[in-house]
Amino acid sequence: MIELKNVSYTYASEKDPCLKDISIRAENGKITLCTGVSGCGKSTLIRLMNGLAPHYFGGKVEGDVLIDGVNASMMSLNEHSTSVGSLFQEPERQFFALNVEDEIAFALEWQGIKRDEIKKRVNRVISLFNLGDVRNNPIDALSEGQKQKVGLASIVALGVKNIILDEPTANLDVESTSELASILNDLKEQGYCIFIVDHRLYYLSEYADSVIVMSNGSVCKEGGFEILTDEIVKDFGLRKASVPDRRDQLKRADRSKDSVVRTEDLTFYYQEGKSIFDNLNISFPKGIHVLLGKNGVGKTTLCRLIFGLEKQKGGRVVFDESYTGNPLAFGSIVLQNTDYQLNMRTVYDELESCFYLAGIKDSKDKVDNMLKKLDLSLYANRHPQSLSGGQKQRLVIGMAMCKNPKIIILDEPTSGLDGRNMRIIKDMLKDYAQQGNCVVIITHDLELVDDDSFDAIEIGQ
Amino acid sequence: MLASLTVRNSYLHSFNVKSKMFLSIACSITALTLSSFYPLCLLFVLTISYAMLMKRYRVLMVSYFFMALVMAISYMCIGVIALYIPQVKESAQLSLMSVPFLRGACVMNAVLPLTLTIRVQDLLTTLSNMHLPFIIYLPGAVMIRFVPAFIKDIKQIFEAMKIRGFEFTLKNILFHPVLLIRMSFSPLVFMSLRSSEDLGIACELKGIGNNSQVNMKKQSLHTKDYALMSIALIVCIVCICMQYKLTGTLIKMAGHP
Repeated sequence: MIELKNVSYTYASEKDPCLKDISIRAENGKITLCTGVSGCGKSTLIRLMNGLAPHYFGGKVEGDVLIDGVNASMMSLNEHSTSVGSLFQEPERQFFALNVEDEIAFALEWQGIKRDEIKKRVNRVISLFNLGDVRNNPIDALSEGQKQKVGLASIVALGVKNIILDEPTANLDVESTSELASILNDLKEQGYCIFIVDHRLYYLSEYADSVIVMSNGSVCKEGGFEILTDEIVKDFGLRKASVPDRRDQLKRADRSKDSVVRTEDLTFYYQEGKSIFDNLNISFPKGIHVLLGKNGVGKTTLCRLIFGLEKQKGGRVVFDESYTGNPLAFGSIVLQNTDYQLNMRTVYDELESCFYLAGIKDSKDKVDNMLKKLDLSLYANRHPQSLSGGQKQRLVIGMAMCKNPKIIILDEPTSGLDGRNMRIIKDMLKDYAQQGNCVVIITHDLELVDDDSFDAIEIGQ
Repeated sequence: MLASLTVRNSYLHSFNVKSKMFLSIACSITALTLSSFYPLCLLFVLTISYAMLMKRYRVLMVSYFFMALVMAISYMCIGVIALYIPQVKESAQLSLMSVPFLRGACVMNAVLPLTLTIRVQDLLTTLSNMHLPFIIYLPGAVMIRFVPAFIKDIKQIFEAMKIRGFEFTLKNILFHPVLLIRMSFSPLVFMSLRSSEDLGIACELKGIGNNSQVNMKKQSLHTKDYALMSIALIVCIVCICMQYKLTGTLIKMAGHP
């Protein structure tokens, strides 16, 4: 059980507290869901619960943090780590070992447990989380869902009863999200205390026992899942509490229309021999499309092939008006992980450099207009890496639009974003498509695709 | 696409971490000791043959590209300085200037296979058994674990530059060096900081240093490990003897015949 009593926390580098007078309780055998817009203090709350604050991040804590009834101020970080397990949005970045079995065993090997017992526990969780097939696989060859499972398995193997999850579904597809929810429910029934911080809410509608809504470092609403009414969702910029899966009902794109880009007998396979496309013929007309297909069918690979980021083994990619130049001058692709794409000193410079590389030398007005469109005018002189997740995502989409591409492909543009930012990005993309361009979205975000103006293009049928 | 970035089954994976560590240390010390061109060339040829056994040709190519780039820049700078200070001209010979780079390349050839073909836990156990203080061996292990993350970061940054319309080409190196440095190194610094912090947090949350350490997999040296260590030792001795034969001394300062 994790309990916070009148807790306030101030980072060492800041004057004002990041968390103000928080009193919450996450009980054993229950799932507690915490949500709120980006920057409201959810991550700091997690750091207090797992001991990283103040042990790792420093700062000043007021009030009491109790872990299984023991005051956390009396515990070292090592002791804390044996009582609370944390799983992060990108578990891969927290993995220390390089393959599945080693990663699960890694923390156990540091607990002074005997070799036979380690093997027994590793075997038990591998079976419990159905990881037998990937037991010896390298971590970076796993799907996001499998990585989450490995992270959870290593926590459960430790015998830790308090589990904290930070945006666990941000990178998961719909099916993996349901599977994760079901695993969490099983753990809950086994008496684990599960504390989840997430923007996506719908998948816990049947499982969450209590919900906490945060805003500006404070708890604003607390209660059962039913408190997440449309009004609360709107007022606090949250994601919807109930989201229908409309993927099958989306109208199919009219492929008889003139295509912006199409593939002719596209063939691709990896060096290991696994065939991804065999004579694929697909076309992308103007409008806004969601690229559908089962996991591993090659949605991202197709987009990379279109822009020459992977080399096809056969067939060809044909652009509108028999364009034969660099594909990346005709269209653009926005990949996940914005941090790799932000290089300049200010947000303004970032956009200006994109216009410059697109051949537009005098771009002051254009940069100003783009900043306005992205709702980032106030942040023009900020360092891009200091922006919030939603702001960074808007910026990289704006950067892709600077060269006025005829087609723009986006890979999971709304993962990890709160409801407000998700809706801003959705509107931006719809506007761009309405200007006669082609927008293709690869997404697992059911809330993003819940829109009549989207149509679907399916691969791997 | 990114599959198996860090773990692949090559012949080197089957060697014990201790033998690879011995080879890395022996070759690194020898490389630092050598200062004659030909013994270093010999060591370089043998260590690169060893590094190629891990079958990570692209990683090696990228590493060598950067090393060659740094060498070319320093050679150009020395050339410019020599125009104004003629005394520098003597040390601007390619064979002399290549000595520090050959040393670096030998160390890189010996260390890369260590970082890319081991179990992290095996390394930690080995370092721990050497009775090194925790404060020394943990950062060392984090640094070694950091290499695969760093390689992945570089790959993604280059891809992001390409998408933006600015590639790592000779033309851009010559005409837009500032923009090139900004676009390649700025995200690399941020991502490296993030990776190192993430790994530091991972160490803390996994309770590393908590208790005595147990390795799930038994480690023992086999015949081939002894063979590898013996070959490494012989190569180092041969290189040092070669330097002695050529210069009449074991340690010679570069640039001083």
